[in-house]
Amino acid sequence: MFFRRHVEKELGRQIVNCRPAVWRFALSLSGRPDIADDLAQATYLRALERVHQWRQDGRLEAWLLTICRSIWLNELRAQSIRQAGCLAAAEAGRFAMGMADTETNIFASEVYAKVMELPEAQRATVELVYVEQFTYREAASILDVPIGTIMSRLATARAALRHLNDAEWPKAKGKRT
Amino acid sequence: MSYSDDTIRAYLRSELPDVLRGRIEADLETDPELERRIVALDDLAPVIAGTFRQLPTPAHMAGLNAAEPAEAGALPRKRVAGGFVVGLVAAFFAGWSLPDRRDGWRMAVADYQALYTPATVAHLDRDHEAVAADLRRAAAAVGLTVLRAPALEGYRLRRVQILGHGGDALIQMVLVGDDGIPLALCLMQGDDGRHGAARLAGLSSFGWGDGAYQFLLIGDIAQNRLNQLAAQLQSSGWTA
Repeated sequence: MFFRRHVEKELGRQIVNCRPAVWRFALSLSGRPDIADDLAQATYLRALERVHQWRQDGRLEAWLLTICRSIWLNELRAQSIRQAGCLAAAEAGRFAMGMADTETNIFASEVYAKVMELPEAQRATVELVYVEQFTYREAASILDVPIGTIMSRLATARAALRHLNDAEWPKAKGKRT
Repeated sequence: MSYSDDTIRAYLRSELPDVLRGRIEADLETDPELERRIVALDDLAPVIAGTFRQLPTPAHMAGLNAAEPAEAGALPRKRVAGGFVVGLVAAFFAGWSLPDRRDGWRMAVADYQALYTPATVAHLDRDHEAVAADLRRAAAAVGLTVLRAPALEGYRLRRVQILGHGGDALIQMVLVGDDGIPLALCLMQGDDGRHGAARLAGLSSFGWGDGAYQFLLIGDIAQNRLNQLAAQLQSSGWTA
């Protein structure tokens, strides 16, 4: 009993630590920060209710993001489309980027805008592989698609974002986070 | 098979013949080292990661630590709701005690209940004995000797939880209708006299009290129907 309590408490701490990744993934799915807020909140709640299903040998983030995607597809996506008429990508000016200087902020805003213009499936794939650094296989599992689909989506996204590749990324160019 | 960096860069630029591209992608399915090299040579990855990892923290995340006091009432509703839910996550693992950070327990309940959908409760299937045991624990938490299952036609009690608000126990009973729509019947010790119907967080609610305990029935159904159910509960003699 005490051991289980300890494990649950530790899991709770880890879930809280995962919240930026959950929110970014929610944003990549929904394309809108306000909906991402709701989706992330629903994900935490569902994780709380299903904590007994968590397998400790897996990556916690992957479990949370799988829940997030499930809620999005089954509960919130249709509702969001009904409300908005369509799923418009988040406007670039929605965020004031948190970079140190103006030049970097402008570039980051452009990157953000271009990524958010991608179709939902490509956006989510790019977020999982490039930002959260999941392997292709892990991303395929979270999105419930074959690994070949991940490669195909990345290739299409790369083509759409090619000009960003050639741009100069102030100070951070070439650095891996 | 080993590929040169130039070949991998050409793959990333979609400049390879289909046959060679297909071979790389077939190898990728079983070769994690090849995947690592592709990711390492992909100049787009750090650009996108650098942008998205530095997105400003959403407002609701700023108040997510359950232990942090917050200026209740001054916060936008959505932010409060977010703080409540993640605070609830933390509180769940820490022993179901929530800080008093809300403008009333009814609003806290409403924000929580607003996140419930039929899918949230579809998997809840505790048997009669388990629910009876939950009721006994809940009764003890609020100083009652007995807490009976509420009887509402067309609704079944699916779960009983001991939550907390302002340091006091808050009992939540989840009732699921034949249509799958969940209602929450909540109770706390005390009675602040704020009774009657109210629209909370977009949900219909009806509150009442008996001087010693206060109750709230809430859910995403028509207000008239909810009022009838609340009246049915009171007239049936159900009491804490």
